Amino acid sequence: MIFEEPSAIYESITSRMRALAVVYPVLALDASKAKKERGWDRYRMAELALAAIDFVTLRTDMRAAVRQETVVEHVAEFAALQQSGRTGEEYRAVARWVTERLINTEERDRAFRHDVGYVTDNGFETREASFQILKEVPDHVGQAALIATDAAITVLVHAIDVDIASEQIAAEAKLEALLKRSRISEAWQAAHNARIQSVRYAKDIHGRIEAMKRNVRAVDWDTEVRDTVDEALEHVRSRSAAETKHKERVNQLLEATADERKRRQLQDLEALIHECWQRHAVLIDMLMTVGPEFRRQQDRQVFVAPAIHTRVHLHEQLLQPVLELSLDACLGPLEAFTRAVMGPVRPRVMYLPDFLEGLTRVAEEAGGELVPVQNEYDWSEIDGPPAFSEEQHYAVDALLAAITEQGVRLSTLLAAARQPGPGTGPESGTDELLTLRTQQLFRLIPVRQLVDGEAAVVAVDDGTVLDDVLFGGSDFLLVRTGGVGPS
Amino acid sequence: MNRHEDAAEAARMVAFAMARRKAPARSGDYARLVQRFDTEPDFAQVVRKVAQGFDLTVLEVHPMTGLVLGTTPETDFAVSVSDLVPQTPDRPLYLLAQLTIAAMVFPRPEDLDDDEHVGRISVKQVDEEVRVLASAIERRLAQSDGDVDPPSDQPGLEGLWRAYLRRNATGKTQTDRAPRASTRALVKKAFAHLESHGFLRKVSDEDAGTYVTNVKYRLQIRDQAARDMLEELAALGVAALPTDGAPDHDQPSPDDPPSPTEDTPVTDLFS
Repeated sequence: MIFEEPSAIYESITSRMRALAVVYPVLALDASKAKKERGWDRYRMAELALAAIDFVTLRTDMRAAVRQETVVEHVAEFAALQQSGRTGEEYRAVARWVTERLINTEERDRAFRHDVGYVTDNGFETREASFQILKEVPDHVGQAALIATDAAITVLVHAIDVDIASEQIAAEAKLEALLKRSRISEAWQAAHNARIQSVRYAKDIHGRIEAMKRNVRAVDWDTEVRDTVDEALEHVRSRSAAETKHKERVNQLLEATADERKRRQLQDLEALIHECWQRHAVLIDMLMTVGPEFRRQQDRQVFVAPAIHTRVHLHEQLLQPVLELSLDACLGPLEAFTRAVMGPVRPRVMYLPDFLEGLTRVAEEAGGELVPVQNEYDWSEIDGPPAFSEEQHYAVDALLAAITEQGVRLSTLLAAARQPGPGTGPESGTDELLTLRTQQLFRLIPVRQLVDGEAAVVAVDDGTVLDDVLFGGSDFLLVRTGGVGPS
Repeated sequence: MNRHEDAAEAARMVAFAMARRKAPARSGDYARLVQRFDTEPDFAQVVRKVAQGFDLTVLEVHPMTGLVLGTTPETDFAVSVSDLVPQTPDRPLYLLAQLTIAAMVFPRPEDLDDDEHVGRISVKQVDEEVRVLASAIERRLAQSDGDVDPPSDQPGLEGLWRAYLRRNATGKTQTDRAPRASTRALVKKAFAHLESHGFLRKVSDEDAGTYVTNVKYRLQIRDQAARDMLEELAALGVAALPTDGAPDHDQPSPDDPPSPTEDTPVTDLFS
């Protein structure tokens, strides 16, 4: 007889099947119709999903809230890695799609479902196992944030149905052995695994404490809570001690290693270990305060009268009936609802900051897309031919550079610019460029160079009138000066 | 601490509740006051009295959102609907959008009691939902020949469902020159108001704007808004359909007293 204890044997199949079921929605992303329809065939969606789960898992510490937008930005980077040359908009759209598929926003209860076989006392039966991968929950201030569920973390670390605390000890033992033999790149992988285990453990113990708080009336402090807390404290303290040891070992290796690549790996490794150590420090803190906190919750039960409220089916009892009311009749009930939803607000007293806020606020009614305020004009982006050629600029630069301390009249330079040559000539227009440059020299005296004692050309107006066929005004004297500095 | 200091602390707690973006987890001071409220019945009473002085009520104290206050009809601290929607013809449609948002993110009464519930909803979904519901009413009335146009001199007698269907969902039409907002724009406005009051948070621009709910939104609806509206409907004689939940305590019908099992108060603490 093979099946002496059928339920015991089948239990392991059931539990592995439940874990494998979680993989299905992740793999299904690549078979999705939406992927083809949107022209996203070349992205590896399942891999992006793992990137998203990784990110949320490692960012979910006890207090940190991971917002969907942050996850999308991160996953978009992986999308860009997979498919270069597409727009940032597409990367974000792909990332948002993957993230929302993992939250399963299309299902009202957000749950994925899979049939799994069980053997019970009544024989074999299939049941629907439901699970979530990324889950939206309120954070510590009541705003929606993402967490990775236990099911998701299971997929991530391929740890199926194991005791989390033992798994964490095992991960660290492996890390220790590898460190002893200075197998650094493997040690990095092991440390990475240990980090995920530390997140899992923190989540697990946190979840258990939360569950106890919720059933505060039913839980017995002296046995259940204290045992859990003590056990967790012992486990975490020994992890902390091990991590301190690992850090010392890494530091020793770091001192003895000269190879740059190895050193960088060691530094990464130390950062990883330090992160676990910090997480455990926070956990110890939490466990130390959980006792008083628990007592407080129990006190609260005594003092706070339970809130009484009417259970209302919003859709059936409010929305359906009000739709059939007349415009006149519906206002009272609808206003009562919205007034109560909005709650009390601070009265509108206009202070100066309120005016500023009011003036700078974009009107909600303003339709259409907002466009960024235009940048200052970038002259290099002007289309159309420049007024003067490179050659002409060279020619004028050469003329100005040749000016000596004796000085030279603008009229002389104009004559030179009208001599035929590279960039010069009677009809070349170079004379015009020259007058523009001269004006500039007259208006903008190069004060800085002069103070520094550097030589510079300045234009001096000594009252001589320019006698020229094209240009009028003063016949400037252009002089190279040595400046007024300590020369 | 003496009585005067208690009064100052209680007023401070009410001030925290009125300010936007304040939460016990963000302010040690607020967290301490929440703890005092939980553990000192006398202090809790002072807080209730301070709120009462402003014509407000203490709905509950929640560990995430802190003190949750409700408005009374007398208070000057409630929002004015005419401020939210200055255009009179838009008002009923805007308010309907507000109710639909709530009904869609909390599809079951128990969702209002779920501390971990996060609703997700878009402008497009809300607009489409109202249109589906309104069209269903239109079809039903057409079958029963009950669909009569309102008298032209009394536009206020038009059904809300019909007024919504008549309004364009998105763009403007060539013929309709009146400056009327599309229903989408009104739904969007409702979302924008909820977001600016800290009840929702926008997660993406998909479907004309997709939002997720904050805990405070749920509490405000569960603790006050749903009941207030139900009472108004009852006053109009609109029969509220019974559900599997407890009936309204404040509206016991004299000829149909609710059975004691149905009348069990629903508590929200740690459940």
